[in-house]
Amino acid sequence: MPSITVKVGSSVGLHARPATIISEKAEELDADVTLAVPGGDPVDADSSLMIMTLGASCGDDVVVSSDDEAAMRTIAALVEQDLDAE
Amino acid sequence: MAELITTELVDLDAAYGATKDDVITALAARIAEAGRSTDAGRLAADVFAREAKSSTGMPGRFAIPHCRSEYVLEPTLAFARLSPEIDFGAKDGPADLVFMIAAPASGDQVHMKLLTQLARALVRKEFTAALRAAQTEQEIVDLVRDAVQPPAPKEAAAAAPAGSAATTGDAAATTTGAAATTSGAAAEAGFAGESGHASPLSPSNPASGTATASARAGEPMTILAVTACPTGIAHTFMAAEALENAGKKAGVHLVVEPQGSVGADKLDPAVIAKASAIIFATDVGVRDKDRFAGLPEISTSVKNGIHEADQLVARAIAAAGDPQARRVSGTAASGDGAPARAGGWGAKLKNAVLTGVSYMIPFVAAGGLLIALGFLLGGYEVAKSGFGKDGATSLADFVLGTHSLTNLPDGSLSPHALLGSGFTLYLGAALFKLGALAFGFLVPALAGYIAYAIADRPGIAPGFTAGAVAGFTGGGFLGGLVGGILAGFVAAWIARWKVPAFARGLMPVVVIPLLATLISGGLMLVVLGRPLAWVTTSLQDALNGMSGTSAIALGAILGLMMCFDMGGPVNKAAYAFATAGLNVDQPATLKIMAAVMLAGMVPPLALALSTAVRPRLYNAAERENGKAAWLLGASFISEGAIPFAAADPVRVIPSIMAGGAVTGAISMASGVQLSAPHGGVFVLFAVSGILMFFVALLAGVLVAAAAVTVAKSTGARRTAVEDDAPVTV
Repeated sequence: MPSITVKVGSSVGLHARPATIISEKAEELDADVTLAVPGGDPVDADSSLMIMTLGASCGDDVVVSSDDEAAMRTIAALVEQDLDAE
Repeated sequence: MAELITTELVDLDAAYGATKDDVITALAARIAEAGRSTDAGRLAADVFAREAKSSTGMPGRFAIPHCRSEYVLEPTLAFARLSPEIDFGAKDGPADLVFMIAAPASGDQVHMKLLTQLARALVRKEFTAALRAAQTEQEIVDLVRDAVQPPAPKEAAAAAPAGSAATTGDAAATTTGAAATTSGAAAEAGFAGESGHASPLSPSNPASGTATASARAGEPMTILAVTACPTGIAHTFMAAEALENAGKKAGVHLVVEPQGSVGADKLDPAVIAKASAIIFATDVGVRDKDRFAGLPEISTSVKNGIHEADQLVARAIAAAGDPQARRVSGTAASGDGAPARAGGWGAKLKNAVLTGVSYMIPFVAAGGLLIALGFLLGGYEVAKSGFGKDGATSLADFVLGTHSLTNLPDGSLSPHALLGSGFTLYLGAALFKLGALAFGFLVPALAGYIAYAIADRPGIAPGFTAGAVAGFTGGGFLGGLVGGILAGFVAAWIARWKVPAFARGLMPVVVIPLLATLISGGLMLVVLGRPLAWVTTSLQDALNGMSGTSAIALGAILGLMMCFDMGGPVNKAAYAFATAGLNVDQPATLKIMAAVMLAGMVPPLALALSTAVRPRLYNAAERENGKAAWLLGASFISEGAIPFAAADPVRVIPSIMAGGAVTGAISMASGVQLSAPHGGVFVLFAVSGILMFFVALLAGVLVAAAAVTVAKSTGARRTAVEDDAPVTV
C-alpha cells in the first residue's frame, strides 16, 4: 500500500480539533486511509478518537497510507497543515 | 503535580440543562470550586471558544470539551455522566459521558499527553462500559487514574515527599529489599494465587517479580493501613483487627490507623517513613491522605478489609515491590499542612484556629447583616435597653415580647425607625433579635470548630461549651480561642485512651463529650474565666480608647496586612482579627472591621483603575482581568488582584500595600463603622459614616493605582533580570 511520511504541522499536535478535521475529511473521501507513527500500528483516519491515540506532537513523523493516492495526499496535506491556526 | 481528577470533579447522573453550554458551564464551576481555576466564567468562555471552532462530540457517545486557559491552575479532568444525554455535535448521536480537560495556558505537552492517554482508554469498550456502570465517584477516579498516568510519575514520586517524608523513598527502597528475604517468597506465591481475581484496578503486572533489590535481612516490611466506615464505630475497628491479624500471618509489620468517629489516632511519621505500601480499606474519605504521598497504595472498601484482609496484605506486599504500582498522589510538601505533619504544634494550632474562623464567619455574616438590617428598619434605638417592667429589657425584646404583627408597637418608641412607623419598628426589632441570636453563636462556634479541627467530631460539644463559658464569663473571642484549643486537646487526649473493645462504641457518644466538656468547660469557668475576662476587657478598653495616631497606625498596619498576600495567611490573620472581635456593642471593633474591609477592597479596584487609565502597560489578559476586578474589588474580593500580583509582584504588591495602608489609616481616623464582615459596597446599609467610607476607599485606590502605574511605566523599560528578583516586601 503506498504511503507517505509527513510531519505534524499543528502546533499542539494531533489532538482533538485537528483530529476531528482530518477524520471528517477522511470520511468524505470514501477511501480507506490509515495513519501511524513510525513503528506503531496504523489507525483509521476516519476516527478522530483513533487519531488522538497516536499522540503525535507537532513536528512528529506520521505515516499516511492508502490505496487511493489522491486521498492519501489530501490527508497528508491536512496533517502537515497547522489546523490549530485561526 | 497534583491529581488530575478527584471525586469532587466527578458527577454521576448530572442534569445540567439542555445544551452543551450548560454542561461546560457547570463543569467549569466544578473545577473552580475545587480550587483549580481562578475564574469559572472565563474558563467556560475559553472552552466555548474552542468548542465554536469545532465540536468535541466523539463517536461512541462521549464528548471531550477542552481548552488551555490562563484561568486554569493545574491540569484537571472533570467528568460528568449526563442524564439525559446532550448533543455535542458527534455524528452518531448525543453524548452521555463528558470529560472536560482543562490545562494551564503554559502546559502544551501536558494537554496533549492527557488527550492521548484519555483517547487510548476511551477506545477500549470495557473502559467506557465501566464508566457507564460506575456506582461511586471514587470508582470513576480510580478508573481514570489507572488509564491516565500523570505525565511524570517518577518526578512526582521523587518530588512529593519533603521533610520527614523525604526519607520515604529511601526507606521504601531498603525495606522492599528486606521483604524480599523475610516474606517476599511467601507473598509472591500468595499473590500469584490471588491474581486471578485481583481487582481490575490493580497495576497491570504486579506479580512480575520485581523484588530483586539486594536484601537487607532481619527487618520485616512495614505496611500501613487506614480503615474508615461512615459511622466510624464498628466496621472501622473490625477491619483494623482483621488487617492486623493478616499482617501477622504474612510476617509483615502491619500498622493500622482506624479513622473512626473518635478521631484518628494518627500514625507516627517515623512509622510512615519506614512503610513500603499502604492499604486504604475505607468507605469514606481518608483524612490527611497527603501524609502518605508516594507510597504504593491499595484501595478497597472497608468490607473487603474485613473479609479479604489476607489478599489485601498480599497485594500490598506485591505493590511495594512494583515500580508500576499506583501510588498515593499529592505533594506532602505543599500548603499550610506540611509543617503540621512535621509535628509543629504552632502550625497545627494555626490550622485549627483558621478552621474555627472559617466556620465562624457564616455566623458573623448572617448575624451582622441581620443586625444592620434591623437598625436600618427599626432605628438604632432597637438595641437600647431601659424598657419593660424592670427597665433592663432592650427595645427589641420589649417590642417582640409585647407586640405582634396584628398589634404593632407605637412608632414613636424609636424616633429613627424607617418612616417612623410601628410596622418598621416591629420588623426591625425582629431582624435585630434574629441577628443578635445568630451573633450569639460567634464565640461558641469559633471554639467548637477549633476543637473540631484538633479532635474531630468528639471535640465539637466540649468546644461549643467552652466557647459558651467564655461568653458567660466575658472572655470574648480570646476566651473562645483558648477554650476551643483547650477543649480540642482534652478531647483528643481522651480519645487516645486505650479502652476495652466493648467500650469503644461508647467513647465518641458518651465518654469523650462528657469528660472533655467537664474538664475544659470546668477549667474555663473556674480557673481561666476571670483572667481571660480581664485581658479581654483591657484589650477592648485599649481599642476603644485608641484615637489619633495609635488608631491611625493600627489602621495602616491592618491595611498593609490585608494587601500583602490577598487571601493568604497574612491577610487572613488581619481579617480574623477583625471578624473574631466583631461585637456590635463595641464601636472599636466595628471601626476595625471597616478599616479591614475597605483596605481589602483596594487592590482589585486600584489595578482595575490602572488598567483602564494605562491599558498599554498590561497585556490583553490583564486588561480583561482589570474589567472583572472592578466588581471583585467592589464586593471585597481581594483575590481579584492576584493575577496581577503573581505576574509582577515586585511592582504590584508594594503599590497596593501603600494604598491599603492609606485606606486603613483614613478609615480608622475618621471612625467609619461596619457591622458586617463582608460584602463591599453591597453592605452599605451596615456602614455608618458612608461619606468617609468612600473617601477612605477612593484615597487608597488612587494612591495604589498611581503607584502601580508609575512603577509599571518606569520599570517596563528595564531588563528582565529585575522581574525575576525575589519578592522581599
